[in-house]
Parts: sequence; C-alpha cells; structure tokens
Amino acid sequence: MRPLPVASRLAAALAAVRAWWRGRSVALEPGGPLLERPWLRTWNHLPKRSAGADFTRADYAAARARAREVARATLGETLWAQLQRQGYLDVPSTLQPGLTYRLRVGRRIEVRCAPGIRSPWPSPYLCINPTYPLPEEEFFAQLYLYVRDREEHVRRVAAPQLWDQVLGRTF
Amino acid sequence: MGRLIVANRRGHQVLEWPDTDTEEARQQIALAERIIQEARAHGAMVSKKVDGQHVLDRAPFDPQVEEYQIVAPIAGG
Repeated sequence: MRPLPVASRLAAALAAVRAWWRGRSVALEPGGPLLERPWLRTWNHLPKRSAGADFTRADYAAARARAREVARATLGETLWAQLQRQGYLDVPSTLQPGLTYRLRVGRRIEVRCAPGIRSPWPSPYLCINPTYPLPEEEFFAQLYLYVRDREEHVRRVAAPQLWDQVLGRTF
Repeated sequence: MGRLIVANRRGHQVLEWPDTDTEEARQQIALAERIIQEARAHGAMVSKKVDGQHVLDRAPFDPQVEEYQIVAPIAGG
C-alpha cells in the first residue's frame, strides 16, 4: 500500500482532531454557543489577574457584569446588601467557636479571633484561589459557600500569609 | 424550568431544561448531569438552590432542583 500524500495525511489528522474536539465540546443548545468547561484545561501559564491573551477589555467588562448577577443570586439579597454596605462578610467558624473568617472581594481571607481564642495559623491571612480564572465577585460568592459549608476543606488547602493582597487567579 | 450555572472566565454560562417530558428536556437533563459528573471528577463542587439559598451539595443530580451551580476547585497560594 502506498503512503498517503502529505496533504491527505494532514487532512486526515485535522479531521481526527476536529472529531475529537466535537466529542469534547458541549453546545448550550443545538447550534448555539459552546460551553466553556474550565476544569478541562490548565491555566498555570496565565499571568496573574488575567483571563487569557484572547480576552479583550470588552470581554472583561462583560464577564464582570455577568459575574455580579450570579454572585448576587448565589448569596441572596440579604447577604448581598450586607456585602455592599460593609465591604465584607464575616463567616463564623463551626469548627472553632470564637474564630471568624472575614471575606472581601478579590482579597485574601482575614482570620479574626475573639479574646482568648488562638488561631490555628501563624499568620492572619489565608490565600485561596480558584484553580481557573474567574471574575472576583463570582469567586467571592463561591468562596463564601466553601467557608460556610466546607470549612474543613478550606482549612486543609489554605495558605497562611503574613500580609493582605489581591488574589492572583481572579480578575 | 431547571438550570445549571457554569461559572467560568466569561462570568457564567447557563444550561436550561424545560419542566416537561419531551425529548429536548431529556437531552438537556442528560447533558446537565454529564457536566456535573465531569466537573466533580475534576475537583469542582456543586451547589444547589434550597429555599432561595445556594448550598454546597454532594447528592446525585436531581432534575427537579430549581438551580445548580458548578463551584470552582480551590487551591492555597
């Protein structure tokens, strides 16, 4: 059997890649936009506070506006109003009474202890990022759910830090 | 109408399924279930709306739930 010409082999390879990609792609509705599933990619190559080189200024603005909607819906009106009023939400620890996690949009968690309560960490801030880029208000709402509902997981992954700083994987 | 919110760098995208016994509804429900399973397998969590509030949830997918959301995996540092 004669080998295929280079162009035919390239076309066959391209067709295989297309078929593989179609198998992995998910359209939100028939013929509609594709759903981006960020857990299937690695994002470590991105600079801090970036959503990718393909993102325009308009993309950032649109993403932040959409994130705000969903963060508000996730938290509910009462917590959302509280966040807008005071600039943070406090979540009391269920594992250690007297310890409170202060969450602020796009920043590290501040650990606050009542008098006589000792923090399990040597430093007052905890750095926790999403593993893929997210608008900061969207991640704030997700982090709130983690701290409230999966505190043990938060304590396992948190990186204690001496100082406050913006998060690197949100924008 | 049920919906799955997928948070990503676009802010979020939404997959909806109608509250009817149609082929379209079955396909969308199967897709939502597949996306949730895949996200969980990659370390993400899932929240569902209960009494107007989202709570993290480990239960199997239930198409009767009003709203699900994929919650990103987290890492320290």
